[in-house]
Parts: sequence; structure tokens; C-alpha cells
Amino acid sequence: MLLLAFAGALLILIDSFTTLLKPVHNWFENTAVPFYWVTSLPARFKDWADDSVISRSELEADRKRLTTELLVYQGQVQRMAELTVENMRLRNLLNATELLADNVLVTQLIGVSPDPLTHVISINRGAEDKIFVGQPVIDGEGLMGQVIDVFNDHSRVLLITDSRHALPVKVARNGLRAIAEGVGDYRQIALRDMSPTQDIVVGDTLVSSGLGDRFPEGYPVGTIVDINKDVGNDFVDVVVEPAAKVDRSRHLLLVFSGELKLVSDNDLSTEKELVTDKASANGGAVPGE
Amino acid sequence: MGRCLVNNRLSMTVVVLGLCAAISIWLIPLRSELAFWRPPFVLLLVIYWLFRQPQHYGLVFAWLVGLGIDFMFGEILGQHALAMSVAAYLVISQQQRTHYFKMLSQCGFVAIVVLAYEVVLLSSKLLIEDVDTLLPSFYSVLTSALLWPALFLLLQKTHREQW
Repeated sequence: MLLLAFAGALLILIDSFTTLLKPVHNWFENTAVPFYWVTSLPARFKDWADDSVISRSELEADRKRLTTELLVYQGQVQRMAELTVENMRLRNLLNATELLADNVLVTQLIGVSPDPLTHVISINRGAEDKIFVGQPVIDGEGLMGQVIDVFNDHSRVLLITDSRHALPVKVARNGLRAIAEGVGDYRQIALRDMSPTQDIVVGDTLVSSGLGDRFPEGYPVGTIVDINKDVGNDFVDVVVEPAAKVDRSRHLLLVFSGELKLVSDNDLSTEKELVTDKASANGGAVPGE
Repeated sequence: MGRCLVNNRLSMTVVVLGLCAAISIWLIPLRSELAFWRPPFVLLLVIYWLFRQPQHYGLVFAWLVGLGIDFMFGEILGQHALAMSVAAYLVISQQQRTHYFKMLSQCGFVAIVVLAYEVVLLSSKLLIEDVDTLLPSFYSVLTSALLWPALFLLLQKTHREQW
């Protein structure tokens, strides 16, 4: 008994405080996939039934609704194009050099951690799809989390509601920066160290601020639903409801951030030429002034 | 009948199938409010085997099952192994008594074992992170005790049919 308990405790300590056992995790991770496959059968059967067993009138109604929606969105996209160009021009005036253009990859949820204290999900994309650790994951409504482990054909995602997760956000209304951290509850996250004098009100929308180089800027994170000003505390408790359906979404998007340079290629090449010219003029030495 | 349940060792297939079934039930995604109430099915199955066949299944078996869970789903290796072995030790050390337990006292005993299991699991987690929802982690103690009679009878039935 003692020996086994000791071995268990030793493993816990080694795995908690070092990364020595990381390869072991990776070897065995794949054994869990069949279980996820089996347990996702009911949900997938429901999906299939929703798709296949549907009446003609419902399909027609759907089609009508989708056509209308498409028209509305197309109209909005036209304005988007104009706004993007204007935004680029303004950024150019401000000497900002880059604008983010994100690509996304659709993925599906295949498993949820059975432990209610760890908010980790598995998705069906892995190294084969060029998924990388730290990649942001969103659903249709907002930011969901980030990839923490990548395997060949699946990967694991830490959700923003996990108590180990924190991300830099800003208030969309006034750009006030804050850190939003999970508290282990799927329905809420909290803002860390908010002083009572700062300009936040219930109903403010939080978006990712892009600081920290992990999440791209501007994705919705949540809405402030409650601010508790406790007189005895230095900071206020801010309760935020996540924008993403963190515990319900099954179809997710993986974000690939691309950089769209405003400085055109011509400008860059002339700059390079200038540098090389200088270098050759200095007799091959790197310009050092 | 002459078929003594206690002496026939369960075949490897049954053990593996039983564990797979328990893990699958344990893995089924639940709504977030319900997730805390889900009993640790693998532990309950192991407790049953320790009850029925203590000469075949002991600490090492429980420890290995725990380690298997750690390998597949664990955040930290060893936490389920340790929790499992502590729970199994409780069951085995009280074996003389539990043998004569009525169903009600059995439920109480299972609740205590699950409580010990959850305490060890939670402590290993608290080593490296803050856990805000401490109390809900123990909801499963209650559901385990409530589910135990049904589970016990079901397992007993399948156990009989096997032989």
C-alpha cells in the first residue's frame, strides 16, 4: 500500500512541477480517442437525424430564411469592403504597419474532459492540419479558448472559462484594458484587479485586445453582467458572461492569423536595395550608424 | 448450485469490457451543472470487484486501473492512481466488516470511500492550481451512494449470468 501510494505521489510531484513526463502523455493520448468516438455517437446520431429527417416545408422555410440572410449579409459585406479600405488608409496615416486578416478552419468537438474542474475539450484537427499550440479557437459567437496539445489527428483546447486561463481584453466602448480569467464555471469569467474608479458599466462588451501575442485583436469575449462594489475590498468583482457558447458549441473555428502588410512589396524591395547599396559602399560592412 | 461466485476469477475480457463500459459512461458529455453530480463509475466498478473477489483484485489492480485513467485522460499522471489505491485500501482494510453489511450500510461505506477518493484527487489538483468550486466536487459522493444499490444489483446479475 505504502509503496503504491508513494509511487503515485511521486508521479504527481514529477508531473506537476516538471515536464519530464510530457512524452508519456503524448504516447497514451491516442488511446482515449476511441472512447471519445463512442461517447460522441448519440450527439452525432442526433445531428444526422436532424439533417436527414426533415420535412419539405421545413426545408423550404429554411431556404427562404437563408436566402434573405445571405442578401442582408452581402449588403453588409459591401460596406465592409469600403470600411476596410478606409481603415487601411487611416492606419497608413497613423503609420501603423500591419492589419490582421484571419483565415479560419472549421473543426468539430469530439470529446469533453470528464472532470468538471478542467475545462478542456478535444477537437478533430491536429498536426496534419498545421494546428499549433496556442492557436485561438472561436465559435460563431466569440472566443472559446486556445490549443494546448497537438496530436496527429486531434488536439486539445483549454477553454477561457478554465481557472488556469486568462486573456488580455479591452472594453469595446472605451478601450479600457483588463485581464479576463476563468473561474471554473462555464457561465462566467471574471476581470482581475479592476479598480472601482474605472469606467465600466453593466452591459459593456469585452473584446480581445491582441496584447500578449496570443489572441488576435477584436474577437468578442463577453458582456459584463454584474459589478459588485464591496466597500471593504480594493478591487471590484466584475462578472462577465462569455460571448461564446463555451459548454454547448460543437462546431468551432480555428483561427490562423495572417499579416497583411500595408507597406507594399515595391517599397520593401527598394529599402532592401538601399541597404545593400550602402553596405557595398562601406566595403561590405554592415551599416552601423 | 455448486458454482461459488467468489472462487471463479473473472476472465480478462469481462474485466476489460467492464472497464471500457464504465469509462464510456463516465465520458458522456453532460450539461455543465450536471457534470459535478456524475459519480466516478470506474471507481464504483473497482469497489464492486474488491467486494466480491478480494483474493483476485487488490491494491495493485486498483492502482493500475487508476494509472490507466491517468494515461488516457489525466491532467497530472498519478493522481487517479493514488486516489484509487487509497480508496482500495479503505475497502480492503474493512473487508471483514463489509462482508456482513446490509445494503444501507454498504451505501454509507461507498460514500466514505468516494469521499476519500475525491479528497485525494482534489488535493493533487490544488498542488498546482486554484480551484474555486471546492464544494461541488463532493456532490458525486451523494450520487454514488444513491446509485450504489442499483449498480450493485445490476453487476451481481451480470456476474451470475457469466458463470
